[in-house]
Amino acid sequence: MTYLFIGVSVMWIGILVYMGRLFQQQKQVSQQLDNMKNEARQ
Amino acid sequence: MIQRFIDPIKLILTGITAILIGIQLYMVFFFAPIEKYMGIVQKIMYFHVPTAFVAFAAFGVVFGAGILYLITKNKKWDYLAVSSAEIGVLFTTFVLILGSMWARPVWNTWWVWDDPRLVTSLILWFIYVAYLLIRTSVKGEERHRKFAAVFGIIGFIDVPLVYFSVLWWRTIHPKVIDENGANMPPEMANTLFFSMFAFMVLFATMLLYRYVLESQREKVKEIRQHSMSERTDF
Repeated sequence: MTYLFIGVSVMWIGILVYMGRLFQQQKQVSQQLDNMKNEARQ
Repeated sequence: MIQRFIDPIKLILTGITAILIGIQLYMVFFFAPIEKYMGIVQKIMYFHVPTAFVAFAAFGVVFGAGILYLITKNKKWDYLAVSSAEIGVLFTTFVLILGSMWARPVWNTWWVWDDPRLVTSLILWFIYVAYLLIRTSVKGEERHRKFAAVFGIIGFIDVPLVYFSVLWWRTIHPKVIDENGANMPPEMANTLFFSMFAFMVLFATMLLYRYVLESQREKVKEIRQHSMSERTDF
């Protein structure tokens, strides 16, 4: 039971951390693109 | 134009993935029977095998996208290849961890160095970690894309080696799926195949998120380079 619990937890925590990192980077890149669009308009 | 459809597609795919993973977890813990000899730890199989198939699929995408990049020189194939390689490395890491977690109570060891399935899987992990490192170390944008595409194509040779290693060589690794299908009772087989399907949808969702990020990141880079060259023209 312990091995199953640890193995599956490591996998799901890994996937969630990876996706969290992707969301954060996506947010930054979208912000940068918006800033560039605004600069171009000005 | 396409960008407008990306966000709803992302949302729909995320919702479908969440539902499928919920059903998968229910099937693993409440539907599939507990194996007679290994006990509950055998349920690791419903995560270990699907993560391995996702890794194979991810490296298959790297292989296909690499070929298409070399033929068309369209950067989009390169974005797809790097996105898929990253997810492939992540899932190969899970394959190795989950495999060790299953091996410890069943084989009484974390790792067996003379087992072809285990060693070829570890080599696969090293190949695609190297693939990701190469992308940052080779100078010249066009050159590193070309080099990475070739590396990704050659690296894929290890995938059939991993898959067929249990059939070609002597190994203690179980043959879960062979030419006769899944060697287990129907409840276990159905749970395993559903898990593989759910994880493939999870892979598609993750790949979409990662691909969109990569293409937008490159767009920012291109705009920056363009504005820099405009400034130096004055």
